[in-house]
Amino acid sequence: MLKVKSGNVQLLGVLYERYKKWLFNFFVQMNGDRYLSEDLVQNVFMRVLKYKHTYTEESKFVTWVFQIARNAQNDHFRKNQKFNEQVSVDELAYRLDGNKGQEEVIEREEEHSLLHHAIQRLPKDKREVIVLSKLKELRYREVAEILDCSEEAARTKAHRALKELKIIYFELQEN
Amino acid sequence: MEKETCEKLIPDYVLGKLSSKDGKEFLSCIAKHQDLQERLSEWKNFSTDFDAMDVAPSGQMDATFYSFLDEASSVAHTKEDSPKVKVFSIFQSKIYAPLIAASVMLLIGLFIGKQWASSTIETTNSAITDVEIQASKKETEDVRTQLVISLADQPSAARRLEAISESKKLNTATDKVIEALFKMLNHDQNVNVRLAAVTSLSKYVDNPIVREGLVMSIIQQDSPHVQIALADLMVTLKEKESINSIEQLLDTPNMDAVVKQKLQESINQII
Repeated sequence: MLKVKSGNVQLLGVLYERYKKWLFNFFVQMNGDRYLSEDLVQNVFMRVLKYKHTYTEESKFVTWVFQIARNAQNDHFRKNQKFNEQVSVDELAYRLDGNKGQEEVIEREEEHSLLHHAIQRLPKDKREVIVLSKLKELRYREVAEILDCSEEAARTKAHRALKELKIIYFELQEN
Repeated sequence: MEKETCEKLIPDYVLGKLSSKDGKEFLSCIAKHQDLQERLSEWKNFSTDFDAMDVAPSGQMDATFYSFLDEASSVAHTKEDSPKVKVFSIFQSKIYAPLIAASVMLLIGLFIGKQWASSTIETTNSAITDVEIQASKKETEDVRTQLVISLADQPSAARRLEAISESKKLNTATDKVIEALFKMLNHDQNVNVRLAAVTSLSKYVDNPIVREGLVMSIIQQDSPHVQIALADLMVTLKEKESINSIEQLLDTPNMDAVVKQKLQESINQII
């Protein structure tokens, strides 16, 4: 990142390849919309370039980029508040799939796993802490930095959110 | 590890937040307590689903990103020139113009006087700038090379086509890039990828290894499109070594009559 900061813009491609999947999955699990999530990943890297001068050696790139991702997600939903209650593009695509082959429908159902549905039912703050904590590459210290709280607070939040997620998950499984 | 501590670590274990040392202690503690084993088993499917729920973004996301990156790079280069523009705008200012004119006259005088003395320093500075530019260019080439190699191994044909498109932007190709291009030419299941690999490799025909590889590839091709593309390239190169390979190809049973005629023509043109 320091090389990107010093003007070697092409190296942003290396960072993109390293973090695109984590960021994409963070967004998908936060908003449940693949198309929007791809746009938000683009938005994150545009912001990385725009605010590269604010990056310092002291912070780890992964925490910095997830802080940007969190802001991008919040900004999007603040700007488009009136659309929040509407059905996602993914959901519409899913409905349109009614005319397609059975295999394709099954595949899509698998993608929208039970756990994904359960995560979607969590309140936003709990969803966020779970999605970040389940990334094995992030320790509680880094999750805490992203969420701007203490390490112990991040751990407690993750435990509480997991407990709630477990209840929702098993409820869904029973139905 | 005490049972109580172990119990408190169950959520951390599910979230994969235990270090390998703590993880081992946790599991050996769990093994000692039947009730904790039962509690952990409640999470079993849960943890597996956690790992399986990640999804991959589409190739379109990459295409959009790389076109943004290309644009950003060219803007960055333009911005490097922008200080010059600012300097010229000061020269046009009515307030500063007379002052600047006087200063310029003075500087010209000083410059002429110092010119001979400073010539050695200038040469050194210019050499340093050249070194920096070369280093930056090399870094870009290295990144692009890495990108080509990693894209060439992707399961999606669109990504492999991107690899070939990126390879065309390279000024020089490393052995690994050449190897990746030949791997696509000789083994890729997608005809479009193989055709694009022919075009990309044609850029490096000055390299005898590439030339030889292309000749060897002729008999490996089963697609008429790729066969004709390679034969056309051989005609352009007037590559006599390829005649044997094309003749071997002509012996293939059930060959399309049009392709056969085209290959025969190619041999005649090479001779």
